[in-house]
Amino acid sequence: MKTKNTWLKAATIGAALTASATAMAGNDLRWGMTGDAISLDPQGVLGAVEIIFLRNVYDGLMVVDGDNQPMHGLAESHEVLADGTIRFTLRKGVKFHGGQDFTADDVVFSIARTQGEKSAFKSMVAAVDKAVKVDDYTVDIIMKRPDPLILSNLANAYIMDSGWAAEHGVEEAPGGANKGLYTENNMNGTGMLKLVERQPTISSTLVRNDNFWGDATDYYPGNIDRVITTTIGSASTRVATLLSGDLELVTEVPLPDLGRVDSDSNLKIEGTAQLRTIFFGFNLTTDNLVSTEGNPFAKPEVRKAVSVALDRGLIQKKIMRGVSVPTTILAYPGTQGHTDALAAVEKGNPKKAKEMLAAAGYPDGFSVQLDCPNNRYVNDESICQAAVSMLAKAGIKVNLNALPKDQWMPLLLEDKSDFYMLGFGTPTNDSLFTFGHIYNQGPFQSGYANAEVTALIGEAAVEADAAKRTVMMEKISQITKDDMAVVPVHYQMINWGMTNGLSIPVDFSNLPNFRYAVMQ
Amino acid sequence: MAIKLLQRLLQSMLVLLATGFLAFLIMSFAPDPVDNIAGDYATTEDRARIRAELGYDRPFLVQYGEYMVKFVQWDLGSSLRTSEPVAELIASRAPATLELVLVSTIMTLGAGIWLGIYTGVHRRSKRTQAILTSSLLGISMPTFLLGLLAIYIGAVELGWFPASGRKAVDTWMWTSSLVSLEGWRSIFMPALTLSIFNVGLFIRLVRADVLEIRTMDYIKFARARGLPEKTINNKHVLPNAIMPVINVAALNIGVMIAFSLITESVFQWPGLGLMFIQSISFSDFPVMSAYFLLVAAIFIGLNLLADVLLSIVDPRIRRGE
Repeated sequence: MKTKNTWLKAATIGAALTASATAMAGNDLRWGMTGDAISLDPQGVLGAVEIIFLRNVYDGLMVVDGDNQPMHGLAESHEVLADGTIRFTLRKGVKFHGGQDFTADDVVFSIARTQGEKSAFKSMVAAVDKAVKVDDYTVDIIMKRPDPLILSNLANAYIMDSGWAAEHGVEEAPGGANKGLYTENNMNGTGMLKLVERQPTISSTLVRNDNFWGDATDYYPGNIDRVITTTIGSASTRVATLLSGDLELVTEVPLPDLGRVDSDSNLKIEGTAQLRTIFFGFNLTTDNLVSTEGNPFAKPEVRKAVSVALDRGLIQKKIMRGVSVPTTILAYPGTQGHTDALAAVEKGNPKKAKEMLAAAGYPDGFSVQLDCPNNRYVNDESICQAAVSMLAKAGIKVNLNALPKDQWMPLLLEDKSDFYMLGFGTPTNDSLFTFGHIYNQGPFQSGYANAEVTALIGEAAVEADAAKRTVMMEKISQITKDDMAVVPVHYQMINWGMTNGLSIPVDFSNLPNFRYAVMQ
Repeated sequence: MAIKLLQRLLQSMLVLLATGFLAFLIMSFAPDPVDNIAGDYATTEDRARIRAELGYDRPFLVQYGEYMVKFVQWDLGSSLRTSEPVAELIASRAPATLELVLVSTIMTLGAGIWLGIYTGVHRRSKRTQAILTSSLLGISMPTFLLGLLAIYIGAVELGWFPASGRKAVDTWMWTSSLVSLEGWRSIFMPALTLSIFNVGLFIRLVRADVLEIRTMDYIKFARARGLPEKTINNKHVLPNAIMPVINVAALNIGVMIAFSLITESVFQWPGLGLMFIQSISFSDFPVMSAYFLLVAAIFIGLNLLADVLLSIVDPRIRRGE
């Protein structure tokens, strides 16, 4: 890791490295992304792009494998003691990119930093009381309460060097006012890639760490020597840059361009369902909505009528051009709580919806405002427009209020929206995170209260037995579906455009895992 | 004269203060950057804490006052998006924009003057009609569309130029695109896109000048003396026709710096315009305010310069008549 104070100096280093690396001629992966990471601090910002950088440069005690399952990272092994404490034996001889030795002190320091008030990752270690050093290569993670996901969560608790942190005055995560911290544009991890050049919002260069601790079979089966990330905000320009051969990978190909990319003889499209459910939510915190009389949505029958009126198949076909997976539950495909039977979709039936509304006391329907983002999700505004006309057939007159995300988000956070569209993902690759946020607590809580669901969420959070937990999670899906606490529409699809020579696992997290990328 | 200049400087300060005030007023209606900083999964308490730490929960006048006091001490704060000090960020982005504007100005002047004179001299030829019609197309086509067209033809179909980004080499003063072939390839299409509108404008400007000058008495006399048409055009029409154009071009540089943002965002050209676009989408208030004030300062400076030059040329202005 090079130190840098100014962009000028960084560019000098970058130019020098570019010159020498071009001469080296390795496997370069040039990745075009929509927006750059906001912070590279290991506990700075919990977001998708940030995690891509962090998990390639920093390691946790655990790391994730190609299927997003936890495997040992900086810990060689672990055992669970009688009182629930997890004892980790650390790898010896591991060095940070800056040359510092990795020891138990770094683990204790980093876990405490992750738990800190200003850490964006504190939810990952919420069940942890503290980390205690036993000897230089043994650490005890003492738990406050059991957490069945603790090993996955520890893969998001990145370990940094305590001495390096002290040297640069970054013992605490950036939070808000602490912006401008050294760690936000400089990284010093133990991971298989190291950051050698950074121009925030322009580009970054990561090169292979020759002293990486992991073996090739398990930890670095790919053959990428250098990853160059380039921010290209305009979608058309991003696609054109891929078409012109200046990029190997684009992770967000707009729907209208899918055909153009796929038909190019040098390029291919690979996709899968994403961990993001698009749904309509209701404000259940009040008896009197702003845009209508009383609160019709307080009655489950009305919410169910909304669901029955929606023709999800038509939305998939006409608006998403087939690139989405319709659903009636929040739980993501491939996670506990999801079964195809639960997610099954019926054809829209406005007549039945109208009857249901009449039975609920709204024979003439009602009018209400729908707050919808217009730059947040794939075709968000078009989906809302389609929903407006589908609901109109059932007698619900919807005024569409489409807003940019910066104006739409505060409405939801402050419970000022009666009826809204929202898409929700999870950083833990588990649906419980989403259940908790949408049905129970969290900033987007809509006022839905069901004692049984709350109890089940609490139990599933501490249930270690996978089979029992699956039953609980499916039960949550079933109850919330019967109640239509929110009305799910579909899962978004991931579409990555890449050169034919590149193979990289495309999984539901939408995060490219460079360790598994192979270039021919 | 010195008093006059001092007065103008004082006025400029007031304009700058007012610009800052307006910028803050606009931003007080914009959503604050807290949601962007906190990320999707932050709790309500975390959002409130970050808002308080950044001071965005305070009244707008307090925020404005604090900013201006710090501004006078040249403390512009740090970007909320990139964590870089704003002054450094602007200094690092300026070369990209200045080079783009420079190359674009040279293209504009070269093509505009040449085509303007040609269409002025050959007033009614078919080629003149073709040039005037196509330049009208250039004026009326939106810049982002022109940019995309250039990308698809120049990069995707022909493959002669990179589709986006800036290739630059570090020189003794700044990173420059003008010292390597790669750099020139990357700057060509953005500069071309930025200049198309102005070329159309300059053709018309120069043409009107040429047409007017060719009816002047001294041209008639030159012709009567039997000078060849070529000599008349080169020695007498050309120098007189381009003088006013040079003045317009100089003032136009400020406009191009301020309005290069569309071209820059289409080509992902990492200059001041792209910086501004990115800061708006993030509500990066420190960068936005600094950019507003910077652009205001450029325009105030250029106007001041024009006034001073005018008063030197025109004694009536100097005397205050």
